[in-house]
Amino acid sequence: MLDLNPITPLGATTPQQEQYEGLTIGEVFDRAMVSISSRHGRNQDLMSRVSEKLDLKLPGVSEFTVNGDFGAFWTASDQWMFDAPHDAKSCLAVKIKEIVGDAASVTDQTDGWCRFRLSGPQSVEIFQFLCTVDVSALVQGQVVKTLIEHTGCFVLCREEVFEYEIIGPVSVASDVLHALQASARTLSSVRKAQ
Amino acid sequence: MTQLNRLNGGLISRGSPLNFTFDGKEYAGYQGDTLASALLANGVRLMGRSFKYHRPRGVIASGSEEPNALVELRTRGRQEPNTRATVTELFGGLSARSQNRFPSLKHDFMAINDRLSNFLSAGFYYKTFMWPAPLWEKLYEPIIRKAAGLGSVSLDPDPDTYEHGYLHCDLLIVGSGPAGLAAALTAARAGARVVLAEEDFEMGGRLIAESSSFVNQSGAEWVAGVLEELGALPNVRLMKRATVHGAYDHGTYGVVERVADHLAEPPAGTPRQIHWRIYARKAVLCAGATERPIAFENNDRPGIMLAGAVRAYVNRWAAAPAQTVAVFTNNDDGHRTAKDLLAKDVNVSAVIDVRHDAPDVDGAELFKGAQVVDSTGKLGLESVKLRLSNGEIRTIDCGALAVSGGWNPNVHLTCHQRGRPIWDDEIAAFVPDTKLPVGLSVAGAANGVFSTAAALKTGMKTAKKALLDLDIQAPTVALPEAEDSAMNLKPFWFVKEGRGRAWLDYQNDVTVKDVRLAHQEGYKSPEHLKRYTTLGMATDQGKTANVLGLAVMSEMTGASIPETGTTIFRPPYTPIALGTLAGSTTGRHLAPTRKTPSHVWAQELGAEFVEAGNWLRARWFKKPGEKTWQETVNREVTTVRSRVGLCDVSTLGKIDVQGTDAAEFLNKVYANAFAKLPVGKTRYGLMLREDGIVYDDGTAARLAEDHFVVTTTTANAVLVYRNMEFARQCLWPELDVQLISTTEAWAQYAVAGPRSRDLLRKIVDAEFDISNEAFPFMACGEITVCGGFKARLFRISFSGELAYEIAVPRRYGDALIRALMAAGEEFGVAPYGTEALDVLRIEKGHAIGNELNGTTTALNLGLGKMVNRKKDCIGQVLSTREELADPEGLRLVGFKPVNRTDKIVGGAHLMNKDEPTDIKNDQGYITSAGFSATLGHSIAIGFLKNGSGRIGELVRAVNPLQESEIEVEVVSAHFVDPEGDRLRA
Repeated sequence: MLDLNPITPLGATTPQQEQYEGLTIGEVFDRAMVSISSRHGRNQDLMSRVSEKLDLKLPGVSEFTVNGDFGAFWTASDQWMFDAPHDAKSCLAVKIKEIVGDAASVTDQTDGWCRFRLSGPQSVEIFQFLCTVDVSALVQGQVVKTLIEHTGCFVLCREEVFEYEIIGPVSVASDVLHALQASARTLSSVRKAQ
Repeated sequence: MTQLNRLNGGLISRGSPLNFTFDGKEYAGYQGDTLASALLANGVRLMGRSFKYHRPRGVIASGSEEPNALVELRTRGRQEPNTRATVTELFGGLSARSQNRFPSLKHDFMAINDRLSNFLSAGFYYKTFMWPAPLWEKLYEPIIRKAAGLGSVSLDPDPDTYEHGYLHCDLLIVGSGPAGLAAALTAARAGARVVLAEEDFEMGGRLIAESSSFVNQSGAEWVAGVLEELGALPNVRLMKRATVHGAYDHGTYGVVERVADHLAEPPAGTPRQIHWRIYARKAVLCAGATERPIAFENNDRPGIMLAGAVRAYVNRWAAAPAQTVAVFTNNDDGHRTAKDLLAKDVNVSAVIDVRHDAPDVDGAELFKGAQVVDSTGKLGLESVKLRLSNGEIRTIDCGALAVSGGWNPNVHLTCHQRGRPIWDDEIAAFVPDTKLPVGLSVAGAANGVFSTAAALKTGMKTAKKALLDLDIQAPTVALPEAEDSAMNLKPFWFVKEGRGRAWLDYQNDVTVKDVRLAHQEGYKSPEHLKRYTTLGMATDQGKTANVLGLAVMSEMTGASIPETGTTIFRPPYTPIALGTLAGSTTGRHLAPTRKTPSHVWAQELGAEFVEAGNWLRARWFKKPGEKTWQETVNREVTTVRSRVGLCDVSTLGKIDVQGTDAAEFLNKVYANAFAKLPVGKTRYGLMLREDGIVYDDGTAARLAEDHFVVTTTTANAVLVYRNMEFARQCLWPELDVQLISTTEAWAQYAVAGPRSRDLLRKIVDAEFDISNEAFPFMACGEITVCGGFKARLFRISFSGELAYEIAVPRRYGDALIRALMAAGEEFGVAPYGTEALDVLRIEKGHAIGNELNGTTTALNLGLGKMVNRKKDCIGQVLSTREELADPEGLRLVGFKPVNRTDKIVGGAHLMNKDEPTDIKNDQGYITSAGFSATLGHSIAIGFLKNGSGRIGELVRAVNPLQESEIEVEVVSAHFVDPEGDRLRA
């Protein structure tokens, strides 16, 4: 029997981890994601199934909710992204579909995205070189979509002090990381120059 | 190196001496100097030559309004022309050069222009070079270009980096003079998020240039205390060397921060400049005011300066402009200059005041009601000629003349959204319109409030009001006791005496005479005046010149200045380097680079990559011994036709379409029918624009009754998704359908060739039967591979061979391609790139972007029957337009060269054999061409009028661009296996 070894969005076998003064950039590669879109007129039905089976309230605009290892954030009207720990042999999309049934359309998004976690006191400041979002005004549980390195990305505020996640298209993972690295270096050098 | 005009005091660091060069000569200055202050301290008044007349010029101002002292800084890639010496912070080793002169600043050959000034008046270009017209491009323009302009660029690449940044605040304060600092203190103590931006390298504005702003302390002392408090607050961001260059929509401001311009070169990793976009809920403009000169004959000699600038040089930089200075004024501010000069023991030879009731001056001779009517001095001012109130002429020796004609509020940012300044008689200047950019208010001198006390007060009040609008209560700040004197200005714009030239716009060499000429020739509107004379069009945007120009025009028309009108200011406030606007978006970071799942593997194989949209795709995989890319591509094509090849097709767009109405939805967006496509089947489809033109093709695979996967071309993935979303949300919102792009999520490979099934049987888990019977052509299904990994299999073929596309979650894409290569070794597997892919599809007559070029219909493509007339779909109705449905119209056919060694060129136009080569006889064109390894000669497909009815005919493929033509035979577009037996095998 053949086996398939996964690689990260950056093309490596292990996630990237980088340390800067007051900032850690860590690639996240252990989460599965599925998008859920409610079928016509089935919003309430979907909400009750999710609430009953997952003990999760579907988040409103610009919000994400977490229940243990399980999380969900709003992506568009009647549309959410769910995430949970990744299991190579067990498909999250199948599990979710079993829960939501015909109340929603479910699409596996696990490998469509790359994800970087920013932590440390400089994790707010770095955004001033990344995107137009006023990250310091975000509160825990907020998510926004923005452009980073020409690319549509989600920014999640996990902890106001200080943990954020950037979720971007997987094919441009190298460019998103480049933007993070360049911004971290700029932040550090500008501080020194001042 | 003696700094002969260096005075005592000032805010320079005498413990940090700096050496620099100007025109190759070494000078000394101090930390805290500007290039201009250091040159003045060294007795250098001559700093440049004027734009048109090459007149000797020196510094006039002390800030960014400087029109004259433009220099070239640094060398090679860092060489920067037209830099104002007044805002160039001195650093050790600075190399500056004067510009617009040859061979030297003192001896400039082009100074002959000054003698020819009668011929070079305003509008001389338009009048002189009108005829003969052909000479403009060949003779006139090159000569004028060579003669005009100021500095030069090195053409070496700029070694520095630039960055973009984004900030958010409650209150942006533009300028750090008394109003700005009072506003900042008020907002900061209220806990608001404050950004204070100052274009200078020191905060304080006029407070650090004046000697008597406060009663009990110096301006510098108060500024230092305020900055200490502000600097300690986490809610305040102090940005010096930061110019707010524009007020844009919705409270957005553009700011250029010069991070490393004050250093010889930026430290490693440090951007030279950052372009900030600041999102401010409210903003207060505290940009101060710009002093204006009084025009008189020969008022442009080095040494003639603005009086406020002279005070700044003396007080802040401890640099006297000359050993002996005279003052020419129409207000009390000029007297302040005389006082400060005297306090520094500089000889003031005269104070010439146009007012008959001017206040007395201690320590200098005062001429009330007098005017300066002329000046002398070859390369610098030596004396001024006065007309006294009694008519007598008097000559006064002086090396510098400090001129004050009053102050113009810096209203620039208030105009950036079409605000038009309004005239204030009290100060004889334009003040901001009441219609300001949203969220912006104005305080201090920028609003026409000139005393320090009033500026402080309005700064605080304006900030409080702005914050109140944000529901932030700000405390009242205790302000220090400050000077509160009136300027007592008597409007006086230019001296009417004399027949020579009196300059208004120093940078563009516009004189009073030029404005008179403009009036004489009918260019009376300020907009016409500006364009006819170039008044206010230089890099300084006429900061010191515009109002004077209007005053002269007003004199000519007999109307008042406000009746004459004004021009408004556009961004940027000061010039911005193009590199700063670009930021880090240069070179390979101009756009994102999308990498395929097999990228690392392809790199290991030494693949040559090509950009397809933003994707990098393998173009071919060269093997050792292959000398040309054609050799490699031929091998790859042959491998697919005879054995099995692998190609990464992950870049094709993939859209997940789900919902109870998914089939009906696809039936509407595709031209052909999809409603009855069985589960487990794939169908090729065409998408039309509303006007009936084909814009994309692809497949839709039905994985379940309510679940399809649509594929699109690589180039149109986003467009198709966007159009489908539009259709879903706006055209048929009643349909229950949900769309999600999954392009990125899957690694998808084409496995093509007669041995493809054999290969896949080693990969696909045994429980899935992929025999021809169980999994026929156009089948699709969800399977597992390699022992349980989920995958999708589609039996579709772009090459025309027995072929599949297999998809796995992207993370396993690298492993799968390696597994496929290993499993296929016994079948002679080889990877193939986009070039071979192209040849394979041309051999099969399949269309891509070359054929779906935005002008072609399904009928043109030979796919007319695919547009189903029994159902409604986008583009169906308009595709029946008479011209589009022409039975004799263009049809996609194939072409073979009659002489098989000839090469058909893509883009060649088709002409009948015996007709001339012209548009009238054009029969069509070649869209795609390549060398067919299968057939052993060049082949092509293209559009030919009535093409399908002309099979076997010979036509000419002409290529006028390369002056070649060949004879080609019209054939079927299906060169290989026209019956499709192979792909169904």
